[in-house]
Amino acid sequence: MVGHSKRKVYLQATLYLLPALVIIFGFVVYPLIRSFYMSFFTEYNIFKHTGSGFGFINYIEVLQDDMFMLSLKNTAIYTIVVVPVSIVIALVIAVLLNNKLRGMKFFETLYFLPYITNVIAIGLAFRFIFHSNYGILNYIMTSLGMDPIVWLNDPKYALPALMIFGIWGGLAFKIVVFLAGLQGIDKQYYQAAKIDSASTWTTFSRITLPLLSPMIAYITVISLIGSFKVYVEVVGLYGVNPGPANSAMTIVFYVYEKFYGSQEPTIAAAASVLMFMIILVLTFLQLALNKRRVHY
Amino acid sequence: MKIRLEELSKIFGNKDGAETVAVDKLTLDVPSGKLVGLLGPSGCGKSTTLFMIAGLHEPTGGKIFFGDEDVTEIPPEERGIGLVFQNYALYPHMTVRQNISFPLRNSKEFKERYKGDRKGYKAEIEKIVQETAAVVDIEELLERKPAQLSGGQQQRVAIARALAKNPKVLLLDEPLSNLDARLRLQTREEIKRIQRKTGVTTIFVTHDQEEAMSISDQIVVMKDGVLQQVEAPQAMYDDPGNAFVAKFLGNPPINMFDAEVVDGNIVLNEKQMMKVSLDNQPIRLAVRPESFKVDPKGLEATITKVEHIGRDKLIGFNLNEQNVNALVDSEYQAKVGEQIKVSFKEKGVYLFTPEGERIA
Repeated sequence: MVGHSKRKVYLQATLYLLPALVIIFGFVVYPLIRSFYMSFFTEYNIFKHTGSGFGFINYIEVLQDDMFMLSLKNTAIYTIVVVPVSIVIALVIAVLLNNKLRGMKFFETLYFLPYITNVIAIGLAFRFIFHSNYGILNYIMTSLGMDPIVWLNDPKYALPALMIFGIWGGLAFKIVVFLAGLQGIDKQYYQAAKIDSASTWTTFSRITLPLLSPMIAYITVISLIGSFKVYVEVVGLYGVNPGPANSAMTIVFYVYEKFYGSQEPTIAAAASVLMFMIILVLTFLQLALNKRRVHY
Repeated sequence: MKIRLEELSKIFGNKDGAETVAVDKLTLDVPSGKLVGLLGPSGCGKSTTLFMIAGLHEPTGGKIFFGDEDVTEIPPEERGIGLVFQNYALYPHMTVRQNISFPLRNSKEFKERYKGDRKGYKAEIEKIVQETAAVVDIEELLERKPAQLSGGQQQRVAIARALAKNPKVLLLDEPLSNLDARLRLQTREEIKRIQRKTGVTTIFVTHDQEEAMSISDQIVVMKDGVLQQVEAPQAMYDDPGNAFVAKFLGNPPINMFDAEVVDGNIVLNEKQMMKVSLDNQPIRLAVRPESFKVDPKGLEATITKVEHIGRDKLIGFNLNEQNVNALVDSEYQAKVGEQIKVSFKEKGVYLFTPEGERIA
């Protein structure tokens, strides 16, 4: 700016940023560093910040814990299924909604509702949907001639039930982002494609998808991280126990269990650092991949 | 391919139920192989007309013929047209080569012809891409993305994409409006050259009369959705059909005066200017800037400005309470504040009714 010293401008900007910075440091950066530090102690007093037994023992213990491996496996399966399936479904719905349907605003609102509704509350509703005797899902399945499934009390179906819930819960945000992306694509490209005799499929695959790729990349990264942190959905669907015989145990649930359940905060810290590493690596892989596939 | 529009209309309705007539019963013949400019101020319906010919807008009434075939109901992809959009609408994620070959790859007929001959299919597409790129002079840009091209280059790629499928008709929407002044001059010559070379019937839309005058074989002037006049550029300039056309063509614009016919004489400022064989009536007298001459018996005026525009000299004076622009010989010595006497030459003087209809 003309007439202002750089120093003054800098100071002013810092002041504006201060409230956000304080919160981020207090609730994100500081705990992050603390728990990283804590994860190396076998005994740690979280009030006095003193500990004993510095080393990698916690990590070894976590990696040798079958429960952690189960939670890792469950989380990985959950992520591998939920992320692509929910993205494809959200994309299809967004494209349909974008076709200038009558009352589109209404549907847009309708599809966004789950996003602003409490996940626990939705979880309770899903408990009824999945109920083996009175649930609507089994009702539909039996009327179609299929055998009813004991969704929530059979270890075999606990994770699939969680995934269905996760896919459904993740749709709202994705649809809204995709819709915004679709509306941001210049209509002239579609007119040009029409003049260029492109079929509906060609138009979608060669025009819409590439032009939407920044949005798809963004959503993929966000929902990959989100689904790796899946926890609230588990509580919403199963309460305090992560499914029958821990069949819906996830990493975050494991961390929570270790911290409050078995009072082993340093083990919990080590597990969360491991999760952090996994997410970091996956996100970097994603970004590297996006560089080649995404057209900005 | 000659094109005929018959009573073509387009009415847009908005939410309040109000209707806007964008194009009003337009009847027009575009001869085969010509370069035709659709000219008019913004909102006159020229782009709407172009988009109806392309098939992107559905006409409210009337018919469109390509040759003898009625194409009114035929979708755009089957009309065999090439369209260049105002902002080019090049696919940003594709290279120039992919942009140009896109319409070819979509052609079913093309795929059918090379069925089972993948190599021949690819070779033919590459051949056409090369040929088309050569026509618009962009051979060395084929690997680039549109964002890496200048405005003029993007324009050429857009034309190449439109030409690649060998269209029967080439349509250009404001092809030069996104280019800077120098590039505009160059590109309009280029468009003319490409049109001559390919011989494709071409219609382009513009609001710039100079652009239309300089490259069209024929100009179509529209106003408020209504056709005003169709004529070759010079003929239209020399013989405007109404006051709107007279005013729209030419820069500096034509000078218009309210005058009167009294006893076979045009009277301006209580002075008899020239003889006409008309009944007594109020008229509008239009005089081209180049049609003034210094005349001791003429009207008196005071020079208010003197401008040199390149090789021309433009002088301004006040006549009949109206600012007048006149082009004079550059040798002519004029100073602001000087008194001059002017009258009109024979050529470039037109008479209109107060409503704008041409009388003489």
